Amino acid sequence: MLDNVNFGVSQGEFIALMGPSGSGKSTLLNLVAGLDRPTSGGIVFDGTELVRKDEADLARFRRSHVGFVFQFFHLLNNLTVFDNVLIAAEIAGAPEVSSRVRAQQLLNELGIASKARQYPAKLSGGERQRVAIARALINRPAVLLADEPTGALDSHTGEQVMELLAGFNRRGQTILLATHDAELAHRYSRRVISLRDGRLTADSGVKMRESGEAG
Amino acid sequence: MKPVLRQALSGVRRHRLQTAVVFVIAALAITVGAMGGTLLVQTSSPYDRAFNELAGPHLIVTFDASKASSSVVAGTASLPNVTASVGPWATSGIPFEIGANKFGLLLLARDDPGGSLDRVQLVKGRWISGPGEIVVLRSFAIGSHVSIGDRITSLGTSAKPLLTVVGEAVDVDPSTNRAWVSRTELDTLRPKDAQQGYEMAYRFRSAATRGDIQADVKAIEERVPAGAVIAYTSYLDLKDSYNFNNSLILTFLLAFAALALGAVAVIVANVVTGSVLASYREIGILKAIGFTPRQVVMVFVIQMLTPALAAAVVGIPLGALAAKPLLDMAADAMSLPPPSALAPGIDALVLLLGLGIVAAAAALPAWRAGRLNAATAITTGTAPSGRWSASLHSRLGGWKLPRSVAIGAGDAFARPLRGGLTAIAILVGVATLVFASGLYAAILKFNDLFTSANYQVTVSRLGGFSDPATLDLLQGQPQTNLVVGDRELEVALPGQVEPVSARFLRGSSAQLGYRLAEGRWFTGPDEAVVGVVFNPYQWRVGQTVDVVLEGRPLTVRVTGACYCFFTLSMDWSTLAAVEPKAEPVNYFVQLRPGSNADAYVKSVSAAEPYFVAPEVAGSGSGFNIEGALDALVIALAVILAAIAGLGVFSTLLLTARERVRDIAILKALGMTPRQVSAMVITSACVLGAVGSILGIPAGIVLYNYLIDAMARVANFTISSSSLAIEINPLQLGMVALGGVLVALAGAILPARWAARGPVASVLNIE
Repeated sequence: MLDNVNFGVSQGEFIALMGPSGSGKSTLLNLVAGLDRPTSGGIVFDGTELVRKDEADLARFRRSHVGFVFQFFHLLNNLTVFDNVLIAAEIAGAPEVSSRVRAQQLLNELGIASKARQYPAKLSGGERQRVAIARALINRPAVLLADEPTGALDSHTGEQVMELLAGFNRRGQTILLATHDAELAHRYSRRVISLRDGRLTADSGVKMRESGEAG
Repeated sequence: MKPVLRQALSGVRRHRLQTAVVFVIAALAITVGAMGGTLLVQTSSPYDRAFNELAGPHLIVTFDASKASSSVVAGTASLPNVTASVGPWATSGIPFEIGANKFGLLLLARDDPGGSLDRVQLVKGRWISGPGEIVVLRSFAIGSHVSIGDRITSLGTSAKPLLTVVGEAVDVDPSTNRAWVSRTELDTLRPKDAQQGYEMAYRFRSAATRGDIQADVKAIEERVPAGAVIAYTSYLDLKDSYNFNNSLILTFLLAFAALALGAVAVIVANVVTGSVLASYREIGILKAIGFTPRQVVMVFVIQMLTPALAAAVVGIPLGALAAKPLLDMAADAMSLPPPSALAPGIDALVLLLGLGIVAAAAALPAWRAGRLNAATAITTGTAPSGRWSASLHSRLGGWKLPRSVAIGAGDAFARPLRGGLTAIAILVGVATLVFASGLYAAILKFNDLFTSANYQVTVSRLGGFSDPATLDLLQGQPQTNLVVGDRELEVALPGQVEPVSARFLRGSSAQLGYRLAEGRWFTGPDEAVVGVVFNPYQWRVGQTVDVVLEGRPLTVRVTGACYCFFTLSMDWSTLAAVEPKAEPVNYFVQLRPGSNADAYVKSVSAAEPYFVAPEVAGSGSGFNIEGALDALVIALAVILAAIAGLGVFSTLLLTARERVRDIAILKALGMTPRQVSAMVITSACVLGAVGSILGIPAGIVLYNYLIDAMARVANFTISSSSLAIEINPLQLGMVALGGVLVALAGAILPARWAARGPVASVLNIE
């Protein structure tokens, strides 16, 4: 349950949504992705109010504007790694040849090109999450939403995944990350929004802006 | 046992939709099972059943009352080989009239329909209680459109008394227009010059063969004055006649019942197996908290048996109710008493079989899952193994299909066993309909072959009206083009105890245009055409056959094979050479083109001859075989479509349930509700198409096999190619399309549910 949560996201930001379990991080990401609807209030994305869109429009919005990385990867077990990445482009109706090139490029970049013909069941947790990141990025989304992407991984692998996300952010990818790990949040993101019991308790971006204005 | 029961019953409550699906499918299956089983049992050996129920006699003999008195006839009961007898009943052929129609009835004076032998069973109304009343045969009532309460005029005497129809009955000899009046009534109805007779019915110690029957007849003939026995009918002749008349409709019913049972068994197994396979994770959890593999099996067996038992409570009485109209229809077709729709033995068997299939279908996958270690079962969850589906995806990838369509096609067989069983259920449904349509077309063709002779009116001579007078009357009608006289006799075969039926035709019989399977029509004496149906000695065209006609040996050459019911058809000259005084009894009248057969019948009837009974050819049978088959094919199509549709529904529902996570992922990636629906519907289309495409050749193979078997059983000499399946491609296409549409209908709800399913809540729970 979220209550009176207001904040804005600018292009190229890496924002960490932080808070304990049940604080509303995942709900917030789901609302931004159009996977859920608020009972009141609104979500404006690039000038468009998401709440007014119907299910089909929200689906089209997700294809073209959002990439989602889940804690438990949520890969399709009956597709190969390559097809898992490609399917998002196919659903979006992207041209086949360029999508294949892009998928291969992402797999190379994420260091899992050698696993392209394998099925998810054969992969380690870290490898699965890399596939999920590649899938989320194939349509060049305006924003990448990552819900506890390291939650199911050991700390070493989790750090590797965070490094990858940070690398994409450095190249301009806007990222909204939900995590309960304060250390990771502060190390990789430039802005941390804290939630507790569905309320926004702190936003370092506001502090920064305030201190900037004061200074 | 308590935790097992508690877990099972809580499973029933928790999985309400799945329980409801198992209940509906099991109820339908048990309904069809009870209906099919009842049909199988209650319609098999119809003559034997009627013979037992009505205490049928081995032999019915008609005596000439002018040559043997009632007491002499009654004396035959004491013959050494006679074990039971009933009669004698006074009998006489009397002409009647109802409206403009005239007909002859063989009246029997019988005050009581019961007794220890040759009982008559009332199927409507009541038995005669006094003068002025008559009970007619059910087949006659249907054929002549006579109902209870109708009044018919007896034309035997100038008083023309009216009789009220008070009852409709069946007996083991429905082949003649028999009717019953009171003992005192018959004398007042009989024309002065009409032949009076007595009828006696017998059972014998030995009556297994026609030879036995002939010996029994001979013993009776020796006991009464010479020439007193004027006719007899043996139960073997009646049985043959039943077997022929009913083999087609019975084959249809039996095939229908067997195939419907097969289809429902496949579907029930599929649904139950699928439901258990979808619960692997739950099985793992049960094992983790200490359930043994045996207890796991028990949980799922009880969980599935609960709705199945409830289904049996509904399905068995429903099956009996559904079988009743078909049983009545079959009974009407055979002029037999309608059998009871209650068959406790079959109902118990269906119950055991139904519950057994459900228990086995639940136990096998649960047993397999119960043997997995708990962690594996939990991890395995419900997700499809994926290889088959993935391979299909990649193959379809080359077809440039929309991704939702490609995924749906792959999902159809994501669980190969479940997908396969669902496709098989559609296959069985389609094959059954192809078979039914083929048989339907064959029966109509068969009917057409045998009724294609070119004459429009048949005339029977009643009482003492002479042959020349009848001929004068018929040839005097301006519409008459041709009159062919007919006499039916049995001819013996040297060295054989079984005689064969023969028909002798007087006049230009070739012009009647009987359809020939091969050869040519006879052109003179000592030539014969053999019938394709009753040909017990398998005579062939070109063969010479030695027969004994009226005690004189004769050699005839078979010139052709016709679609006729008689074993041999010969020219009148063949009979005249042996019996110069022989006269026809029936006349086939071919009318001039443009003549009206009804008007002709009225005109002949109006010409005063009470003793001539004309009728429009082919109007005698009141049973509409086309109508009955239409009803059966429609019933068959509806039931099989419902079963197959529910099977698809269940499969897709389970798949959608198992794939709820995958569907949520696809939606999270941007798949629209419409694309999700398209994906589920594509799965259904693939299952329907595979079932339909394979079902059509399967149906044709089944038809060809069964039609051959049927022809062999019935001893037909018709080449099976003459009854080769004749369904036009459009009809086949419609059946195939029907299979796909049924699958689509089954997919509508699962597709909607999948499209509307939640995303966030599914993906956030792991």
